[in-house]
Amino acid sequence: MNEGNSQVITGWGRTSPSRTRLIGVQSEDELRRALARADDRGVIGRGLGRSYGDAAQNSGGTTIVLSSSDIYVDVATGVVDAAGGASIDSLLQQTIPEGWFVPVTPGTRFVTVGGAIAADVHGKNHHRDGSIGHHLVDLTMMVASGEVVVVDRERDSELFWATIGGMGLTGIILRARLRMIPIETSSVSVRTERHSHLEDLMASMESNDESYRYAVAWVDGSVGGSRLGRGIVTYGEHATIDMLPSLRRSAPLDYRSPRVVNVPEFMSRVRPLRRSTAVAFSELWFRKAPKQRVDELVSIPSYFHPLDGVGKWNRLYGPRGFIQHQCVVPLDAPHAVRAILERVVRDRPANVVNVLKRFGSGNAGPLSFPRPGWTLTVDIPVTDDLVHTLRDIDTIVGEWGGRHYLAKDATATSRSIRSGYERLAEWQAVRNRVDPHRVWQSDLGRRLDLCAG
Amino acid sequence: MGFTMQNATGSAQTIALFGGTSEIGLEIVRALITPTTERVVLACRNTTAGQASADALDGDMTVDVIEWDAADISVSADVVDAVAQNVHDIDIAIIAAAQLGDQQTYNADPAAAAQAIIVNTAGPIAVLTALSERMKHQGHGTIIVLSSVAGVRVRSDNRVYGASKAGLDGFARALANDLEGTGVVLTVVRPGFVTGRMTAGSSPAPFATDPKTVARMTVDAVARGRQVVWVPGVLRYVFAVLQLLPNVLWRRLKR
Repeated sequence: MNEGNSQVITGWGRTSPSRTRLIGVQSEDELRRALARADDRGVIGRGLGRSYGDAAQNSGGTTIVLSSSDIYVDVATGVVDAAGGASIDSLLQQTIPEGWFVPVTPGTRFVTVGGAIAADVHGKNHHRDGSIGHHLVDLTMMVASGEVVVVDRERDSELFWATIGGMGLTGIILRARLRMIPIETSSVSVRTERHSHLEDLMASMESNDESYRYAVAWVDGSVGGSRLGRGIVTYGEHATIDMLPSLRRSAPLDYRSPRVVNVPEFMSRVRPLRRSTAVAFSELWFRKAPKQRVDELVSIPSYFHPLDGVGKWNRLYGPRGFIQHQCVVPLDAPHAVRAILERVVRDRPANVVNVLKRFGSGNAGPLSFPRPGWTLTVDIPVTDDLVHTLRDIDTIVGEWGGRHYLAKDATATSRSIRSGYERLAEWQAVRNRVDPHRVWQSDLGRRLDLCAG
Repeated sequence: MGFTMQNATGSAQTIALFGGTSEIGLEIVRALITPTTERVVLACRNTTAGQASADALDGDMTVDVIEWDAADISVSADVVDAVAQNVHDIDIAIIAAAQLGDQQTYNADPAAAAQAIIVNTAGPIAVLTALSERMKHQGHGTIIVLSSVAGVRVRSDNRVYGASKAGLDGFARALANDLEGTGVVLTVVRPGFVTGRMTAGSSPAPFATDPKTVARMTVDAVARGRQVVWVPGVLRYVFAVLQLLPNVLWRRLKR
């Protein structure tokens, strides 16, 4: 094992850099030694660095990257056994040709299996299939003592659920077994609708999303007033063979991970995305969508991971980086979504990516983010006024009984997350049992005081 | 961008002021407070006055007052520990403890002259030493050191105070270099004549400024990652000239 490089790292939002000893770990023994050597600043696991905020950073402490990434696919049952460090990208490359798809994918396939579980990621099918925790068979993890344990719904189910959405603070996930979903083709059949204001957009999702496996809306953050919340909703289903044009039926599961073109490094040092560019983009994006279109066949990457085509797109937001704020508010509080959008639009940020979706049932994870409700995600570049915008948004979230997504959070406070995560104390009790000496720590954990008590 | 402050918007969650009743120090604290600030600690000799300062701070955060006498150099490490007890990680610390004193009084009381050096230089250096070690360990942090132009070229009629700030300034600049790459950053603030309680009764020197301006320019310099900030900015050029002035002219210069 190398002794680790002391280096400054950030999350995907490129904010809050901090210095840590970054160690690549090859084996369980190496991992155990790294844990034994940890001082009071502790250890955190890091995957591909796609958490927006400081979840996978540990200033002054150790940050561990697991190098093993092997994946075993049982093509008969669709159960995969993947190393914590394996990426969803490599998982898809192995399983799609065999007719299996991940039960849940976030908006990027460049996340690790371990990271996806630690954040209990959700996708466009949450209203129907829940988050990744719903699909786990079991987890093999190393806890603070260095012991390797296998946990599932029977064996230490408390630790199992505390780890799902536990942001890496209960232990490090070495392997996970995950039940995949069967697909006939590598295409998605998409229905697109353009709606000229928020009420129509939400009404469409309320009445239609149950009929589709996938449903998500892009919301225009550049217009207010009567056009507030105008957007494009897309519904999707995995296409069946008979939906494909006859020429493609001979290789229905053809899939390759598309080539990624990176945004050059210098873009992160120049003037960030301009508001005028963002407004023009939003207008174009809205206009180019059809009023309504059905049965369009698109590829898996373009439907699920559109931003992955542009590598390191986080550089576009300039030297100060950006935050992605995601919250969920109860289904009976659509006004909260409107209020947050109004607040964002009022500041006129250079904002292009806003996503709205209805969540279905949550799971038993005490820190798992999704719960029935509307989830709204907004990207905002960091400016001097951002702190005030966020305070107002957090007030709205709190008033309506909502909560923040910890995997994206970079700005909440220990106060503002406590009203949303009412089962935090329960999670802390599990953590204190498996990690009494507080080996697992992160900047996020310290900032939000998650590990107290 | 300096790498500090555990929040994406560059806001500090925890702020510690050493010299908790310092007018300039408190203004800097005010300028740093945002809606995400959770805890402020004021370390000062007179905790009654410190509590009054605490009560006068606006914001939705906890303010603790702890006793610290800059002259008691034996407790320097303890006070940093005590502050850390209250805030976990210290995001920003401001070193503001100082006494101006009067040169005539010092002339009559050599022990008082030495005592001023302890309060203005030795005490702060001890705290800076403990603080920088702690921040290096936590991997991030911002330190603001209140120096003075009086230490840039020491005047004869203000030689005790000037010498004390010269010592602190020199130490702080060297410490900033030592901290390079550790995740901890340090900014030295060199105000000119600042109107306020400390200078009440003396007539303002040229380029006088006020605590609010010092605070605003300090916070801006910290955000830009500057190692030194002069307030007002023109003093940087004034002193560039004054430092080149032959001593025969310097000693005749009246302020």
